[in-house]
Amino acid sequence: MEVRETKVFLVLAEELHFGRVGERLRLSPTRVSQTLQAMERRIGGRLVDRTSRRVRLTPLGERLRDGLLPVHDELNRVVEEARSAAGGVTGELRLGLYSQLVGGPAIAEIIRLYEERHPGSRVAVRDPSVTRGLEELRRGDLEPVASWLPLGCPDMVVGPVLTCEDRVLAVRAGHRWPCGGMLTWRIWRTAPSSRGPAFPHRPVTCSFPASPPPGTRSRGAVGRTTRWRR
Amino acid sequence: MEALTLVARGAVVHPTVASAAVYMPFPGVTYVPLRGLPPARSALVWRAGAETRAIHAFARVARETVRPPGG
Repeated sequence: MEVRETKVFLVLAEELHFGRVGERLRLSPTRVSQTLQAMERRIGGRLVDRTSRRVRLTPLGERLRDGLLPVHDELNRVVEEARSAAGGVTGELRLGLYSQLVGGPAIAEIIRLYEERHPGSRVAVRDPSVTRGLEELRRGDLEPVASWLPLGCPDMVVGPVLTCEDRVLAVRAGHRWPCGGMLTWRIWRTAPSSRGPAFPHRPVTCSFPASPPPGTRSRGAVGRTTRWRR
Repeated sequence: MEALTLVARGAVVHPTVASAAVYMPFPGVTYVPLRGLPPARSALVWRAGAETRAIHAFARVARETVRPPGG
């Protein structure tokens, strides 16, 4: 039996409709029917009952389907694995992800798709500290790392952007600011500040220090207080 | 988490990104929009000269998956 015939039969067993099988496999319904007839001749028994109303598998057809499915899946898996190996995409990819925020909402889907596309490969997610992430990257312990921008490290390649988000300031509930609901950079710069993703440590980032508002100059972080100089 | 405890105590304020309000709600902490700065962006980065096929393949999937802002 040919692999192509097996495929037609398994899709028919799923769809139970000649037209839909034709659409999925880009064959004419006549061609689907001929392929099935050829299989039935070779096996020497009917696999599918066709009445004017409906299509369904015979007990023989059901047995054949149950036997073929795992074999067919295994065949696909082996071929995919060989394809990945030929492309060199196998083994473990060590992804550095030091917070949920830096990976953004799409990161889980990216990992899932990558593993699906390269069955010989898997992604191991590591959560280094912000400062250690780049060191581990330099040593080769991590491969890609999700990092805030700008990076300011000429020995690193900046690849696809993962997130692009408005900035917020986490403040104590009930804290009163002079400007009401929204804060400006000018107001919060005077407050003692922790180092968040929008203001991470060097050398991973110099997100704020590298892009201060026009006309100002960073003096970096002193303790937990951020100071800026005009 | 440690930073948010300090925030809740009123010891510091903590600059972060908008989705922190979704990922990291914390008792006693509110997130206030911050104006006057460009959006915070993150990206996949890797060591120059150490590209592997796997890294390229992963970056390709990321490029296809992440929609550009406004897209």
